[in-house]
Amino acid sequence: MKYSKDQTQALLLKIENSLKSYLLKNNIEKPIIIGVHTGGAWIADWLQKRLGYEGRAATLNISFYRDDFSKVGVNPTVEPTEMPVSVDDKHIILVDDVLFTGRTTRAAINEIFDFGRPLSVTLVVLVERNGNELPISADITGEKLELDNNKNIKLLGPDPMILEVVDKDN
Amino acid sequence: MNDLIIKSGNLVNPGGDISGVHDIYIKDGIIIGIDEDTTKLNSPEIIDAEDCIVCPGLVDLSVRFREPGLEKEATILSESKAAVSSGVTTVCYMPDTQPIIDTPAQIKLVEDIFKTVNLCKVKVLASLTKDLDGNRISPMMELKQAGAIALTNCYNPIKDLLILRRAMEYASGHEITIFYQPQNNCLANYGCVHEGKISNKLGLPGIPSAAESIAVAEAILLSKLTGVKLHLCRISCLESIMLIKNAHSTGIKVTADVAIHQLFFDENSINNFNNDFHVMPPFRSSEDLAEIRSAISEKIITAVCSDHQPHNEDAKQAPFSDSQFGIASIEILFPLIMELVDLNIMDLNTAISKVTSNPAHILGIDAGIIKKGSSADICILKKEDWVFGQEKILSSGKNNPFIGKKFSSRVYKTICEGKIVYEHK
Amino acid sequence: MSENIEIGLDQNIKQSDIVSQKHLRHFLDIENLPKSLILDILDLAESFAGVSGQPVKKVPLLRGKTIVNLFFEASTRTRTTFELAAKRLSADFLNINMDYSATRKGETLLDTLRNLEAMHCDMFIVRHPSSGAAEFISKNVSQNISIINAGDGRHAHPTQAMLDIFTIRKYFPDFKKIKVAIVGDILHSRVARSLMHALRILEVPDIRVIGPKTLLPNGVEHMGVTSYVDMDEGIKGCDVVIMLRLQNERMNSSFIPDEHEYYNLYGFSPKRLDLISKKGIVMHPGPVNRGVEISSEVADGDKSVILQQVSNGIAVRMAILSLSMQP
Repeated sequence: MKYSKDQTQALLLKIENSLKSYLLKNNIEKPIIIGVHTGGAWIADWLQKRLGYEGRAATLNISFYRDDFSKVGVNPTVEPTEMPVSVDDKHIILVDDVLFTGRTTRAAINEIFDFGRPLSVTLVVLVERNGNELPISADITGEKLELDNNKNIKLLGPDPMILEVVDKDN
Repeated sequence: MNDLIIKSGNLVNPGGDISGVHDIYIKDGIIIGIDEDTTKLNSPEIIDAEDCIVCPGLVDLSVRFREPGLEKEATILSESKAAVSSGVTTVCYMPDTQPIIDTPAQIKLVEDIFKTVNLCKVKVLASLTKDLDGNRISPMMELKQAGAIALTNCYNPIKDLLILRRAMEYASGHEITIFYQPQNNCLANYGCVHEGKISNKLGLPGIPSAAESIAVAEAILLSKLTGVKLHLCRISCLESIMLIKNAHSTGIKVTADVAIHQLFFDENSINNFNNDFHVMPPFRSSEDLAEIRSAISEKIITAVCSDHQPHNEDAKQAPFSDSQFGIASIEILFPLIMELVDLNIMDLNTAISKVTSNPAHILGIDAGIIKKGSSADICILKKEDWVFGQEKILSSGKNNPFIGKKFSSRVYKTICEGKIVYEHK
Repeated sequence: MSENIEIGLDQNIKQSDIVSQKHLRHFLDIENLPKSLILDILDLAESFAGVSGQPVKKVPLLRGKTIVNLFFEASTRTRTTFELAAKRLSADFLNINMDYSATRKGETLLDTLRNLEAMHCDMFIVRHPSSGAAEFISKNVSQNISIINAGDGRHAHPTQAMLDIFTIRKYFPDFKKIKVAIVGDILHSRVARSLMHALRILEVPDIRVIGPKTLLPNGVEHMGVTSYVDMDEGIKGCDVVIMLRLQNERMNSSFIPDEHEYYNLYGFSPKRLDLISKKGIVMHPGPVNRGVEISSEVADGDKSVILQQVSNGIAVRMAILSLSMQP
């Protein structure tokens, strides 16, 4: 089941606006936007442009921080981590496409902290679905979803970005 | 022992006058008649050899049974059992035991053990030089008189050509045959495989064919100079064959043998460091294999031996170059010879001659031929499919790449000096 | 390969994190590896390359695993890069130097292995003077242990070849368009053997080995290369020239007459730089014998990528360790 381009766009606009208010409300002027490969990186890049910041968003390859190496190994084809600036004393906007179990976010946070000590980390996701396994929640969400256990939701992209619900093991 | 009659066997007897379907009469360990009971036999045991090949007991020009000194690897008892299961009734015993066989007492020791074991017969080869040091010639006549059938320096190098000449000259004076393993140690340079495709690929130190052929050339020409009876052991390359052929055509009477395994494999068998194929001399190229096969059918190489070298497990449990070389093949010597017949590499008569009358001739002994008056050393062979399985191995040495191989002939009975020393049940 | 931040440009990037069927448990030689796996290792090494530049030079990937360097032959360089690679993956690490001559007289190789296995390690990185040792060890350890070949006799040094091709790829992304020459003692070199295999698998169209006839294996063409005794002719137009170290014993056993003649004929002197292609690079697995196989001017010059090979070595070994350790 695919969302339409417009539907996805609507969610993107929603998180863009929420983020803008959030930054204003909390007096955050120069946040670092970091996207988790692959979907989160596309969204982070989009947000970077929409918020008028220069250059591209930083990106994380969390493969080496995952907790399931013994079961699934590493994927050699994911793009490497790119962290062009220091995270010390900065506000981080961590961006991912889907918040599901929370393990990806845990890995991402661990990786960020190996780069330095941020002032804060704010989690922005396009979709938050059921199935949370860790005490992790998003600060800004496009949409909350209930999905059956045998279904996954993923982001296709980068242009256009379109959400798709698929059967597991696809 | 019982008197015996072997009935209706198909005699394959290349060294003798009689062949075809005949009955053999044996009394007190001697063949007393063929098709004719010239003396009354005492309630003889009758062996039905119909549809079987009956041939002389095999004469194996090179075995190592590891006694004395290396009993952890094998013993004369264990290996004799393996030998007779392959129809072998006479073995030539290599002297590189511990201690080395270089005194009459050592020769007697080995002969005594064989007598006690009482399965197959032995002809001992004694050491050409003292301690196999390649430098001081051994008391050759004393050794000959004590029963040594020939002298050899095994794999140990002779210090230089002058000493080789002297050793040959001295031996020639006493009409002693020298069994020479041709290898120029400098060129061999600690190699463990054939210098060629596989050594290049695997990065293993190689032994060029020239290491053997140059030693062959030296030995042949020195034998011409000294008049010694020379036998070249375990030929492996086409250049050596060319030299032997040449020698024959100019009237030099050198003989040569090849190890049975050299007729089946080339360097590719080593594949990815397979220690089962670590042998000396090494398996060479496919061209060499083809040439060796031609050479035995053309009678340039007149004998085939087992080159039996049993090892315990540890010997092969190391990286290739650190592992010990050698295959424990005596118990499938005859089945393998028959396989060569099946593969049309030799006809039956030629094949049997390679392991019976020819080796006997090289040794100068009365063996390898079925005739009236000779010792009743006989092998009876049946056509039967069987698999050489690990559990069936009689030898103490399981170092054998032929394990699991299917054969189409098997030894049914082996008779030595008129006694049945092996029966397949 | 672009150094800039490149985010998800290709729609074909796999969403799944599971590596496809190419399971790697041991890393013993290059000869039998499929091209796709070699490329996967290079790609993964790219990801690891960044780790050395981070403030915390570690990722927790192999946390809790124990890796042992089992060296039967002296080596400083290879030993330390493996150690660094393992530690950057957060693995626990142990260095064991075996005096091979002692083991020959006493404990057998197998017994040594059994004793080490009892310590419950996950991986042995092995260097041994006998060709085929790594293969032998891999056949004699229990199922759950990985063996990485850090050099066995003259046979193979696969991790070195991998870091060499990783380095080459940085300058020449298309292997099918380049000429590569390996110069020196090919006969005794495990690096040369592994490189010849790797370059052949990657379909490099023109692979050359150059050296005096005494140091070129007889019939080396079987391995898919062309041999040259004339270095000037051999390196002409080459994009990559890999210089091998000349060991002293070669002069002592009549392989070559002396260093002087060797340098004249086979040393990479500055004037030879004009012979290679404009963008050509000069490599050396180290350690370098200055003035014997390569002049200081070339070794330190801008066509030399020798130091990059060293730093690439850590990332490539991290990739190989990770892939071999995974289920």
